[in-house]
This record gives sequence, C-alpha cells and structure tokens, in this order.
Amino acid sequence: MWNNNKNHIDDEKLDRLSDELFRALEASENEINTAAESPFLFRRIRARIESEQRRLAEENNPWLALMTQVKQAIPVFALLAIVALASSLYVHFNGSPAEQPSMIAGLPMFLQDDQDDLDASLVGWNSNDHSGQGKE
Amino acid sequence: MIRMAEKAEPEVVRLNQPQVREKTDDELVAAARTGDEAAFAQLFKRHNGLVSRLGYRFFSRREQVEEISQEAFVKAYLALDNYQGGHEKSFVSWLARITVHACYDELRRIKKRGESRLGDLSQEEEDFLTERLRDVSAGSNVESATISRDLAGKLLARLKPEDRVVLTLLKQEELSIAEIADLTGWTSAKVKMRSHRAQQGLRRVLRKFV
Repeated sequence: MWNNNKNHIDDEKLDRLSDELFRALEASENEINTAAESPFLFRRIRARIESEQRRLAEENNPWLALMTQVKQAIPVFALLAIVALASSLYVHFNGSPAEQPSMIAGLPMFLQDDQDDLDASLVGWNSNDHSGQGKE
Repeated sequence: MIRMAEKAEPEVVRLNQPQVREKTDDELVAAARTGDEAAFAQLFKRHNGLVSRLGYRFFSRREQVEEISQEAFVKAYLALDNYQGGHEKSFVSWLARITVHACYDELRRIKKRGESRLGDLSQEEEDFLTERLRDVSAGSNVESATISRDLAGKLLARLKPEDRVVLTLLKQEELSIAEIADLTGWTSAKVKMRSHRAQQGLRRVLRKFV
C-alpha cells in the first residue's frame, strides 16, 4: 500500500527539482533591463504619486473629505429625485380617483375636506348638519 | 546584503572627471524630500534595475514586474520622510524591503482572486511534469529536467504567498534566515519555521504529479 511511486521519490530529489523550478524562473539580464528601462514607467509613477498625494490631502482635510463625500452622494440624490418625480407624475396622470386621492388646485382631497369644513364653519354650518344647507 | 544591490551602488568618481561627484543616495533622498523631482528621478534611474530584478524573482510577466516597480517607487516616495540613512547601502536595503513587501502583497492579491489554481496547468504541462517526476523516481538526473518558466511559475503559485517569499529569497537570492527576517520584518523564528513548511508544501505540490 505505502510502497507506491510517491515513496520512491525521496525528499532530496524533490528538493533538487524544486531548485530547478526556481532556476527556471530566473529572468535574463536583457528582460530585466527592458522592464527597468520601460519608457513611460517613470511618468506612470509620477502620475500615481500625484494621485496618492491628492487622496492623502483629501483624507487629512475634513472639508475636502466632506466635499468629496457630497460629490459622491450627488448621483444618488439625483437618482432619488428623478424616481420621486417620475412616480408623482405617474400617479398624477395614470392613477384612478378611487385608488388615489384626487388633486384639485394642487391640494390633495383630505386637505380639501379640511378646507370645506373650515369654510362651512365660517358661514355657520355645522359639519354634522346635513339637513338644510343649500335649501333656503 | 542583497546580491543584486552590489550593482546598484552610486558610480565612483572617475579620475578624468575630477570636479564631478555623483550624489549619494542619502543626498538624493534629502533633495527629493524637499520636492526636487530630478533627485527622485535619479534615484529611480539608479535603482530601478534592482527593483525589476526582485520583481522578476516572483513574477514572470513584464507587466507584473512594471506594476511592482510602480508600487515600490510610489510607496518609497511617500515614505521618504521615514527613511533613515547613514550607511552606504541603507537606501538599497530600504527599497528592497519595500519591494519585497509589494511583491508579497501582490502574491496575496493573486491568491485571493484565485488566479493560481492547479487547474491552470494544461494537459501537456501535466503530462510533462508527471513524466519528469517518474524519471526522477527512476533515478535519472534531475538537473536534466528542462522546465519552462511558465510551468515553474504555475507550480510555485500553488504555494502560500509567505512560503513563496521565503523560498524565493532563500533559493534565488541565497539570503540567510537573518537577512530574510530583516527584509520581511518577520522574526527569525517565523522565517525558519516558514522555510521548513514551505519546503514541505512544495514537495506536496510536486508529489501530486507522481
């Protein structure tokens, strides 16, 4: 059972093969020089340094950090506003009177009722009195 | 301390240029700290070979090595205030430490993304490796094994990032435990234990193909 191929390979041989793996990974001088002399590498490094410095400056300045967060929140707020506007327009144009409170002169029905009660009380009509109003 | 560092020393004054002296690394760092871009450019020019060489110890693609160079120099620039010179090789050792950490971070990122699975080996590569290991078990000379860099990279990517770092520095850079501890910031005991486990881990990886 234990006398299989795996045990035939002793650790020493595997270690030598491991060394071979590491030797295989070694890059030539030419490759190293090509990577080191990449024409735009330093420019990219400068650009990243500048962006890191900006980020660090923002982190250290609370006002700048706040402004950045506000800037990031603008699209979210804009999206919410669009959704709210779209849903109110939808309700306004498509909603049935039975399902939705109707809007007259920009006021919902419950506000209009309150306004009617207020008007009725001003002319002396009781809101529970349904007998005589309109009939002189 | 690092073999490759020897090539990165500032050039010595030539006799036929008596008045011109190359600035030392510490002088360039001092200038770069005050915002002298040319000084930092000179440091980059002087030591980018070292950084690329270290990068190639861990990664085989040029883009990856360039990414490591970027990471190392950006970190070095932003940490210039923390640099404490004083010795001839101070800057080289400091930059090497930053580069090794950049490589380690990148290895961890790759591992996290799951880019290095055993399944990455093609059937051809698996067959080659199985055949090669059978040859080894039959007693043939292991040094005759010609393993492609790609295959070696895929196999070593199976190791844990910290194992890879320790084995690379031990086997390729031929550093001592103490030197690796200094480069990585780990304790010597950890490095010793890690190198032992890394060796076992690599054996396990290779045994899978027998």
